[in-house]
Amino acid sequence: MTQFLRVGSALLKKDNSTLSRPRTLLDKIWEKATVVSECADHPAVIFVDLHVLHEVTSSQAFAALQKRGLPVLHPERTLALTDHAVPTASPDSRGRWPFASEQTRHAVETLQRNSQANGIKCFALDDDRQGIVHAVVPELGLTWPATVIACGDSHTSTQGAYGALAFGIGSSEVAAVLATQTLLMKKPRALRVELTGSHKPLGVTAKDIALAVLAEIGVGGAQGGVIEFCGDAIPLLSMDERMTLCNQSVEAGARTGLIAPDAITFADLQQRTGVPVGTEFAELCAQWSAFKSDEGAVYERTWTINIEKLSPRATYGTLPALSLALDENIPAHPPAGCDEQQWRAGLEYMAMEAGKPLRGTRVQHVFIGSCTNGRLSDLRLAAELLRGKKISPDVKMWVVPASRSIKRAAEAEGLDQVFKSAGALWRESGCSLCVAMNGDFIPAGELCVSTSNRNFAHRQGPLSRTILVSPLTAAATALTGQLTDPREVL
Amino acid sequence: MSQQGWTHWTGRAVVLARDNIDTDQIYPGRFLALTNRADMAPAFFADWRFDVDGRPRADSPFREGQSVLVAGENFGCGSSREHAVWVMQDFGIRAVLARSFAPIFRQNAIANGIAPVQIPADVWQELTQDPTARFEITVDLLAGQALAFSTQPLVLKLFQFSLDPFDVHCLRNGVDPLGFLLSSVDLQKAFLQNKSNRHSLQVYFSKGEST
Repeated sequence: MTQFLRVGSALLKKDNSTLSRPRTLLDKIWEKATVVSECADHPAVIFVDLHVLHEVTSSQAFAALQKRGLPVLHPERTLALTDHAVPTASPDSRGRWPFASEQTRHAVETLQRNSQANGIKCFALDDDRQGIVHAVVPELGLTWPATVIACGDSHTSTQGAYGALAFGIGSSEVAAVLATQTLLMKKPRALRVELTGSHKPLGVTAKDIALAVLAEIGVGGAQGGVIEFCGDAIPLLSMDERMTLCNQSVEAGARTGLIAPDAITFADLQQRTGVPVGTEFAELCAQWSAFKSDEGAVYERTWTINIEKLSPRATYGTLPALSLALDENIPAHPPAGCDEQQWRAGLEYMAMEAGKPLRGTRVQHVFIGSCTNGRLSDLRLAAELLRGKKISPDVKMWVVPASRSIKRAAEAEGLDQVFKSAGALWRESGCSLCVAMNGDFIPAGELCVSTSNRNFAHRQGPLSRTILVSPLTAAATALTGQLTDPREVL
Repeated sequence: MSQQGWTHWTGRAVVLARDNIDTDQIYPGRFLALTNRADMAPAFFADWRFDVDGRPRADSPFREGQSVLVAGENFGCGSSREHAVWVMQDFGIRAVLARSFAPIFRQNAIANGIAPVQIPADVWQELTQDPTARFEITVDLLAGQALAFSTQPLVLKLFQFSLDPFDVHCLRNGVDPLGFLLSSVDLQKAFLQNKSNRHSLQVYFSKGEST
């Protein structure tokens, strides 16, 4: 170990040679976050401005700290939330939550206990700020541009929408961040997706753009990189939409997605509690404005997509990158770079056939929710389409707001009534059918049209089948009982 | 977290001739509520090893005693769950030889003493050509070499791989990066004096939000 312990002041000096050439947004955040520079002997030491915990990936980390006798270094930079294991059925009249098992209850209680013992704020089921970490942290105004945010969950990438370098880590790394507030990391490669176009066509949402991006890059095409989304279509996207886009960047293999902060970002942050007010906020915005890529900055690879050419999409295999426009047939051959044998196995698992249309596939479940598409704007889109209508009697439809505050806001607008009148289930907030570990699951052989992020085999339950779509397509599908292009019912 | 270090390993291989094996396959989500490491072992590739009624599947590629896992591109993609690596370790896997790795899985593997060895295309071809072949694989971390050997059909394939010196250091000494990071904590003080690094939860709670 000693050979690696020579962490001298020389290493503290930032690499000034980079200052002269145009820099990417990633370069700028990376430089700001670097405590010790990368060298031949070890990766860089990166400071984590905010560390978010949940009940599934943190208990082993707390145990590791306890074993080594280490305290939590910065509890004021750590926030705990419960989302993966929480029930989405409502508590009974005495306020008791219907946990699916003693294990799920234990997981939640363990996080509460560990948080309390270490001076960490925890918003659990008894707190009206509970919800999916990647929804709640931005809601509170804690997702500051140009910061580093880490959480033991791959979809931490969601928060890249605010221009934060936000990424998922494993439990060993959770332990490292708890004890040191830092991570050892090699700088990821800079990648870029340029979104062009002046409008989104009818029926096309951020989810359809995200699925088109994944189809373009392929499931591992961005492996280990950071995808910066840029281009003249970015100002057309709200923060919710940007979060959907960045959320799914991990499905292309990227560590995370990133969007430079702009006026839309600042307007969103200004109404949140977690930022300062007045001149202090203005000062911060001025600083944050510098966090954008310089003209001529170099990316390892750029993909360009014109959003005007897109139409509503859905996945057909068992990888998020395997999607097509709803008016297309399933192709006869896999896309370039996709292993043919695995592609065929995926089709077989999904009970789908090459050459056949995807549209019209009978479905048994529709799920609207998750950190990808469980925010207020998603619920509004779906509710608008369902207002005054009834869903198919063959479909069980689950609507699960990403957070308690989204649920309250939706209820204040009467969206819950729209969903309930249509025949859908209106549930408490959490990850629910996206990770399917809280008692919500899709039975073997049944098909779920889902606004979540992964269609892996068995993801929503053993032998469950998943088609990923936008909230609009999900709502249209619930009406007819078969995979439906929302433009047919809009 | 930290464990016995190693430099050489020889063991029987399980060859999964597929790309994009995600962590939901390695550790299905429904087992995520388990907090006790000792209870997790049955989750290891549960849907590949057992049918929906819990009976062993005849087509499972897994056998007791396998300690090297071979797979295609983008191994370990999807969820960041380190549980995938823990059950792999409990099954006895010491090295994963793959065409490429998902970044979080790679980190998790090293933190738990499992070597992520990237294999070239020709080696992948050899290892997956005949599904009946039974390989024994030796991994030498210090030399950056591995040897795959099967008697029927006769295959003997020696190849080079490269791992970062820091990763080799962690694997051979059985340490995770936490020790290194602890040694650099003092350097944070200067870092935190910079006004632009003041972000914390304090603004939020100073506005009278309940704690």
